[in-house]
Amino acid sequence: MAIVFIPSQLQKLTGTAQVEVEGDTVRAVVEQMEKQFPGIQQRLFEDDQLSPTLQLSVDHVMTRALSTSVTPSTEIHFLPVIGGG
Amino acid sequence: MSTEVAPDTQTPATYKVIGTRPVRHDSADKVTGKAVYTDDLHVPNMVFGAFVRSPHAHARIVSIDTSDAEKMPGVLATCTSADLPDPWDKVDNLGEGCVNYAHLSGNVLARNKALYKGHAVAAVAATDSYLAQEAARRIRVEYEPLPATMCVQDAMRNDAPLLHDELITHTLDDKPARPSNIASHIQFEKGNVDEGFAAADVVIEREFKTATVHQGYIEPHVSVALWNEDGRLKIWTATQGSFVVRQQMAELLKMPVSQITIVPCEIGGGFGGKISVYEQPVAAVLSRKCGRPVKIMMQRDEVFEATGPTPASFMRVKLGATKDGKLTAGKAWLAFDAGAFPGGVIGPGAMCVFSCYDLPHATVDGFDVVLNKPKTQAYRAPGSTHVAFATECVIDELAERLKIDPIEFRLNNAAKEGTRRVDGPVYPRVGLVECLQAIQESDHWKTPLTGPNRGRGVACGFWFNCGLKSSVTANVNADGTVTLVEGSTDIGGTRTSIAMQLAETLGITAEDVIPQVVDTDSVGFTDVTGGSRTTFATGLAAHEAALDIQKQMVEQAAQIWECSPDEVTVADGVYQGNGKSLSFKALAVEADKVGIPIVGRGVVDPQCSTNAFAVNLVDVEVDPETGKVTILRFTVCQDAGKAIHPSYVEGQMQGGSAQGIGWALNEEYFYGDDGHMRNASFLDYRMPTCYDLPMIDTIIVEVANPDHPYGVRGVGEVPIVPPPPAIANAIYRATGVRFFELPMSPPTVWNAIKGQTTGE
Amino acid sequence: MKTHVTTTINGATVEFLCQPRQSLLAVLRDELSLTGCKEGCNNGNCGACTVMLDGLPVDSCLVLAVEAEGAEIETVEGIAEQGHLHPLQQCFLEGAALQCGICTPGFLVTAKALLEKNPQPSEQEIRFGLAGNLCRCTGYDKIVRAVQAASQASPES
Repeated sequence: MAIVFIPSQLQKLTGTAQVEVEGDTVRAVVEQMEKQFPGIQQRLFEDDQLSPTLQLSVDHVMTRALSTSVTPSTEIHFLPVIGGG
Repeated sequence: MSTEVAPDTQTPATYKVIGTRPVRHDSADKVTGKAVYTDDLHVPNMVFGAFVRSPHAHARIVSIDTSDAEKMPGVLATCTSADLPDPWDKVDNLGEGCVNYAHLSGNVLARNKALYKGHAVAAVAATDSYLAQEAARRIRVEYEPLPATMCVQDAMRNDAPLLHDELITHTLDDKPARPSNIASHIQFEKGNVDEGFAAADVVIEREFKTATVHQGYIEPHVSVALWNEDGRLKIWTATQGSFVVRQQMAELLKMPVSQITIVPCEIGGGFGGKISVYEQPVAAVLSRKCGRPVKIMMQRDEVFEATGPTPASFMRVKLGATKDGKLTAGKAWLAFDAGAFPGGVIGPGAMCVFSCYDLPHATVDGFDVVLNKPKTQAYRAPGSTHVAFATECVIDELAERLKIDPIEFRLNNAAKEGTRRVDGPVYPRVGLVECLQAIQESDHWKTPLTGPNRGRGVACGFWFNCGLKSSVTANVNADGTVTLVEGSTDIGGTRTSIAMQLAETLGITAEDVIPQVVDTDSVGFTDVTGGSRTTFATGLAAHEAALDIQKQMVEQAAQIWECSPDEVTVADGVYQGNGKSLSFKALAVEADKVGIPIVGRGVVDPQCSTNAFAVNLVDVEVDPETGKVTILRFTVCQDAGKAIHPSYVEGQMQGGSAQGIGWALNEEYFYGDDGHMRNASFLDYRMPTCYDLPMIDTIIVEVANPDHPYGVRGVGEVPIVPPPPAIANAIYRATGVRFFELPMSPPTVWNAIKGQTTGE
Repeated sequence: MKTHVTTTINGATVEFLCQPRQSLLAVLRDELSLTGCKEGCNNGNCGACTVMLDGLPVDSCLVLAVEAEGAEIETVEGIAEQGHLHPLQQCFLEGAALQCGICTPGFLVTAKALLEKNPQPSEQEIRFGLAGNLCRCTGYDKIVRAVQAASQASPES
């Protein structure tokens, strides 16, 4: 279970800004979201991986690993990737 | 007084090495001219390459004829995009941002169309560099010029000339049906922005523009490539990240990474501009074709016109606040120029626009827009300087309208631990409040500014800083010193700041560590020197390696002293056990006689932002006759987490500030109607000189980063962020005119003052 | 066609052959392996290639190598003497007056020329004297302080 913050451009699929979703990893959460809100996975994934233009914020961890484990209090955010100077 | 550490924030731990100021390990080489930069290499049998570049901002390439050039005696090979493997439309993550290899390949050598003036179209190798230049002029390229689009607002229009016929806006929303120049659209929403503005007593909305600026490193891009007969490719190059160059080369040339060795030479500045490849693949192909090592060094006009400056922007920022000085809502609309290919710095720009404040309600829309300028790249806190200019000027205007002191207003609303950013995540412990308070306590703030045409301004800035992958190995030598092998190219003293962390952990001196930056065959994968990550992440790897060494030393001590490792204790670099005691160095000497070699290993991939904040306080004087702005006094305060080597932390703060001052006051790409940059030289692209600046006073705040054993945050990038708005706010107080466009160069300021006095 | 040039570099007589179009910078670096002077712009704007030519600091990219005939040249390689760093070099490294280091040789040559002419310069005189050398890393603060420190350490004071 995790709290997913839905990017505003996807909220028309979910109707809300946050959803609580079952799953032990980010991948499981997204797959579960897909069941609830069909079409959301293809907006976030490319070739079964996180879209290369996105990164995840899972609590304080910035990652692209879909295997990152989550707990019921975990917040998942989908953010643009950042390049530094 | 140049240096102070704000007393309330000093970390309680006392260190022996960290926080001291040893002479850096490479400085004798660098003050005697012995340090070897890429252009200093003369590889045996080396020849020289030169580029043919598009004279048009946008043109179809009809034909390329290299035959005349190839007939010249001494000309050994030519190269066009046809010599590069067909690119694949693969988007890859380079640790720092992502890259589409089809676009990268097309930027290295134009395919079908030249998309900006200076776009590389062909290249040639010859026995000397003058001959190569002459041969380049003999390569005949037939162009069919196309209409160009040069500014973001124009490029976004429906009737704008398209750069890429197939470009569909990337968005999480429904994709548009028609191609356009809008490469991506990012959106964030927090709360309900309409409610937020309804609750405000004052709402201010302004439009801002900033010009294209360049990182301005003094060393031009330069590489030597040697494609050997056995199929192995070796490249000596000036880069921020040798492994990232290897990865790009492998993808562009479709060869395994193991066939490629990247040797990072000393690097003469980067600031985000030496991550992407430009001349490296071309030098490699020329070397393959002529069988000799090929050096390509760009001229300065090529660096300006054909590498990766940072974007021009158009921004609209609206903020609301209550009469008691609480921000209620914010709205930002940001369009950044990506240059000729998608993938500018709009993402972090959109994430940073309100990152200094606790805003209950906000929306942010960000657009990445392609146009006929060079592909933009990161430049020190990429995107954050643009948006800080917009937000911090509106914040200043709000504070003035509400008659609240500008620092108090910021303190009222400052982001702190627990603040939810507009893009979603919640801050851990951060130091913005401490920085603002340190500025309030500074001698500068407490000394009133007097005199005509003078004004004082303040502004804040934020940058994420990243972690990413770093590897080091550390070999204990027979004399008790440690050789530290690392993959992070050293642009500003990181050999030493990393070595100091290893020394602190082991209880030896910084001088007892011998740091070496090595090639991609000699150390584990290491991400770029960028993202303010090197002292943090590679330092963390060095700390891990030191712990690994310590464990092995304990085992050896146990063997020597004939006791169990559990009975050996270590404190301050002294090993004790079985009634005996030896310093690290003495134990290393003993261990060398009896044991196996001691090699420490540190590999890390910290996945966190280390969250840097900076605050500027600046006094200016504006000459009403010329519009010239003189910086009278400048203070930068920054949360470093823990300053490992304070001199080099100050150096980052001062250098970043100077770049921000240049961006604020003078630096810009001037484009003619033909899309040609009119000022592609250091004479006309006016970077600050020594004579333009005062001393830059620094206040280091230390709010320890919980994700690092010594509390380190990155320090490199954030100091460039606050200067433009701090200076704009100071100029306003000096002249009564608010500026919404960068740079605030003498003609701009003079015209505005004149407009004010004549009522225009 | 190459031209024969005889010159003095860092106290020693040096002869070289050069093309008439070659700059002094190109010859120092490419023919004589004196790579301490750097090429930053090749048009006289950054100062990274500064050398002393007959007692005056010049951008060696703006001097033709053939003009060096009979001249006395001093490069960054000649500043340290017999294994001892010059006080300026010492002050640069102790004062952290360099980051990437590419501009450092040019600054050292210019600063040495400045201190030889004016052993006790004011801050403004230092800033004016060094204005022909660009540094993009440091913001100049520590460079100016290093020159100040060297001026105080010099025997003239």
